[in-house]
Amino acid sequence: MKPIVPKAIESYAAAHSVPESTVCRLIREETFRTQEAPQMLVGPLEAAFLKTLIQSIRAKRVLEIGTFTGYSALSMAEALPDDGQVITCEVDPGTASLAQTFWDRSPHGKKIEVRIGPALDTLTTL
Amino acid sequence: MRVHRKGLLRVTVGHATSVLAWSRNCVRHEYTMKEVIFLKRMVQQVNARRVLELGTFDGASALAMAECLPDDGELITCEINSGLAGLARKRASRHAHGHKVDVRTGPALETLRHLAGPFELIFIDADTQNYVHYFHLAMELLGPSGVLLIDNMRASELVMSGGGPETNDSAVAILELARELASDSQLDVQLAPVRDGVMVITRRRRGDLLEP
Repeated sequence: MKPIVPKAIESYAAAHSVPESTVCRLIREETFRTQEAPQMLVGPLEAAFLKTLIQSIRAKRVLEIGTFTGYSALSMAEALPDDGQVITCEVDPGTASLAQTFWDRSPHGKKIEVRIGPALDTLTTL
Repeated sequence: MRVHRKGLLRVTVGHATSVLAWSRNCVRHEYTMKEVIFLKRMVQQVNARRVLELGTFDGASALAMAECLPDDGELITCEINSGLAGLARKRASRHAHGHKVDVRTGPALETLRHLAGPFELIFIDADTQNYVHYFHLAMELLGPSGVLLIDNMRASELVMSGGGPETNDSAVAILELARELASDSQLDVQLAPVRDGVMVITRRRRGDLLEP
């Protein structure tokens, strides 16, 4: 994926944004080690964007379509209050269960609920 | 390209006419369409009624944000240059949303001390050497779920052209503030790669501080 912002700018921006959590770092490393398309992971800067967005609207419930390995869902869960919730839809049970193993290692993982299956089907049930 | 951007702005934000005029006129300040869209979206996102701006310049950003405020909304904007403040007032007087804009002339540090919060959105776009002071005063005026924006993070100067902060006092001040912000566990901070870099700062809610 070719980024629309020059890499040096993106690195500068990421270096001055909220850093990723330890578990998010582990997800990122595992994803780049084991997945065929690791660029699907949003990364620290987009995660910071999602967090400030969640804080600014004081979100309590978040819906995500496309869990992948769970990096963005956990990032968002970290910005939610204790009784917040992320419902995230994933069609691939393999990446969803990998995500779950990492969420279980975070105090914020309990806020995340993954729905496995085609998101178009899941959305009609929410 | 201009046609495309114009269309995009109309679709995404609306009320575009005056903004387009400013984008042609603001030569020195170089407001880009992207930043104006960004500011307007932030006002809508936080559902702001009261906005505070440091650094009016010609009033372009103030009026753009005012367009997204409710009718009883208020935008207080501080400008040290009385000529620019006068220009901004004149523009506001001719603008449909100008009645929401209150231009305060004088050093912003003085003006801030006399203001009462809360503001839902604060936009700092003033003299960078005072950024640390502005930041601390702004946090006192920011509502609990408010968003603080700090402009001019010098992304292009410090990164793309290879210039080091040691060459520039205001760049040193900016980087010091950026480091302080990023290490503050009470805040979520994102340096948005918009124009020259805009810092987006929100407070974390109680109960989310057990991280990581």
